[in-house]
Amino acid sequence: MNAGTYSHFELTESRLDINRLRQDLKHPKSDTTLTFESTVPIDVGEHALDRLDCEVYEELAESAGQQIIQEALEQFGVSDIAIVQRTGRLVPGESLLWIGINTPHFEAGQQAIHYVIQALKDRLPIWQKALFKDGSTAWLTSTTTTATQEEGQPASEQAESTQAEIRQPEPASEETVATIHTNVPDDELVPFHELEEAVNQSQALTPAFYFQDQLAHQGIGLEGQRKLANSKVLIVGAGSLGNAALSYLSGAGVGTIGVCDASRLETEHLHRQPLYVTQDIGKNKALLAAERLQANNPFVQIKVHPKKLERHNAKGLFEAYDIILDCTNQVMSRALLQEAAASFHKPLVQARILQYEGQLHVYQPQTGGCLQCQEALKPEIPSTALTASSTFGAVSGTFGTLQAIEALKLILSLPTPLTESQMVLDLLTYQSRFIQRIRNRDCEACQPYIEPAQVDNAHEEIVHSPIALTPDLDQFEWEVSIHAQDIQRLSNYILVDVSEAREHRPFPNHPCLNLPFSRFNLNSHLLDRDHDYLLYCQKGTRSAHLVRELRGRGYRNIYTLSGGLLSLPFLFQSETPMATKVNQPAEEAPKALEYSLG
Amino acid sequence: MSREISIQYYAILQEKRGLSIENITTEATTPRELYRHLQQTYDFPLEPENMAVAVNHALTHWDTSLQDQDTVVFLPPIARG
Repeated sequence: MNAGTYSHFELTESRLDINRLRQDLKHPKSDTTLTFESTVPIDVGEHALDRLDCEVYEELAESAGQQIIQEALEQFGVSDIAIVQRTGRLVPGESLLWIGINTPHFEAGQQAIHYVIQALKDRLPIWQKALFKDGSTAWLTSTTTTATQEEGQPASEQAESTQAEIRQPEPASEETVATIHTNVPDDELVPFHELEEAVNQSQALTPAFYFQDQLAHQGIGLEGQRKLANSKVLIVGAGSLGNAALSYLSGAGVGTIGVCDASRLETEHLHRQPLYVTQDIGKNKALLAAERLQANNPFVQIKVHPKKLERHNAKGLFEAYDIILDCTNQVMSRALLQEAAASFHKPLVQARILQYEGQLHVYQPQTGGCLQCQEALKPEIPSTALTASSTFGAVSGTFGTLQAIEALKLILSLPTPLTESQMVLDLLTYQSRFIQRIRNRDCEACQPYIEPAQVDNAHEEIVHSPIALTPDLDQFEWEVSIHAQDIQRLSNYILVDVSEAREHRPFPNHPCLNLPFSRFNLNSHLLDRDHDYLLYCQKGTRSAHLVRELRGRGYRNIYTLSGGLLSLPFLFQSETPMATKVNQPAEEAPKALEYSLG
Repeated sequence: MSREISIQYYAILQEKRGLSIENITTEATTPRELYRHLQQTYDFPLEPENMAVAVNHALTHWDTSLQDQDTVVFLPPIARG
């Protein structure tokens, strides 16, 4: 016993001398002492009590009592705990149980007493039999009102519903032994029957202890945990939505988790993507997420897909998983994922966020409606929706968490997944509304892939279709690569820099416009459908997005510079535009037409 | 292969059995088997699902292997007011 020599657990058949017990507990430090005493009543229910016979399984009671004291000392920070339990024969008026606690703080002492009382009820192996004056007997239950019993007949039905049971390990059913997948070879898989290990085994890192609280939950249990272990979920996007969804699905024990993300961690991601740390900046996010998740849960298998989900690889990815989560919060991937879900018949849990509001929907191909099924086709998509647009990580984290919950509903067949409607939730007011998403058979957005060979007039299709429908666009048709030797090709285009104003770099010797990405929609009317435009940015990502969108709107002569400005180091070898501005004499500075409408 | 097992009974089991402790020789290999055998003979009204079992004074599961000279204690649900 730590914390003084006053803590003890005692079983006794002698009458309790309460005054002496209290005196013995007091010690020189001016602590508060709280005491609890329970007494044998004169009647139980309506029946006059003659006596109470108390049996106790001593060996186990000793260890249980000591353990309870130890736990309470550690948990509540009280100084001493004394427990004295009467056994044997007692008559009404006698003390049955006495608990004394020395504590520096009253509240902690109160909590400790509650804890100890409850723990003794749950775990102390003691049986009290009441003998009534009319000759009948009854085993006492925690409700304390028992019907009159035939002699020797136990209150067994009441026992099941009202009595506290000694905690014991869950026996595994014999027919169905599940396995939890670990990242070890198949022949070394950790078997589920570790659940059968004794309770007093030390807290080893085993599936039984890891999932203990889920297993104890009636709604989940062994059956549910097995379903989780056998499920495979792909999370597309390891950003702010993905961080939350990944954390909770892996913790829940989804056996196989795929993380698909080609992007690298940047400083501005850290505030809303709590899986990552500063040392991770620059590394691939799918890899990072997998490392973090595996460190939390060694009993699931994390598969890393450090690539962008595209049409050519969607099949392989989708077919390897049961459920897909769209955690990209991007319009273009949303469309592609929806098509892929329709093509390969996988449920898709979708979320999108904007400021403090978010939307959540489960697209169930063939039976459920997609987000376009009931809506008029919308050609305009605000550019701000193309990038992460929540205010705080708390917002995107909330919806990523909700995506995990929807996935769990599907895996465990829990009620009411959002397959028939889409929820819109405002985190400021907590107002939610539900929009029905009934399937529209003629909806084009959730048709399976149209194979390119089936469509003859690709461009005509594009002109009349909304953004979501881009079945035949081949990015390589409109990506332009410029090499040192054909630098003159640039003169064939009107150059448009879509970087933000602060990043804008004019091309030396080539005039260009600056139409920043964040406000592009406001200014897109400046583009002439008859001219050839080459959009660029630093890396080529943003310009590619915009070109795809514009192509969808019918601009045919619009292209993106593959790899962005960073792909053209030769341009800046001898003179950088910035150096040009600073070092060169005024008359040699490039004449860039800068329409900076940002 | 038979084993010598020491058994302790409490509460209703003690009433039904009429003893609080006994030593028996048994072919049973697990506490569950042992209990089934005793249940039939003495008409115990409780099922293993509602009870705990301790072997050598440590709580364990019903399908653990019994060894010669083990002590088995069947614990009915705790009965206290």
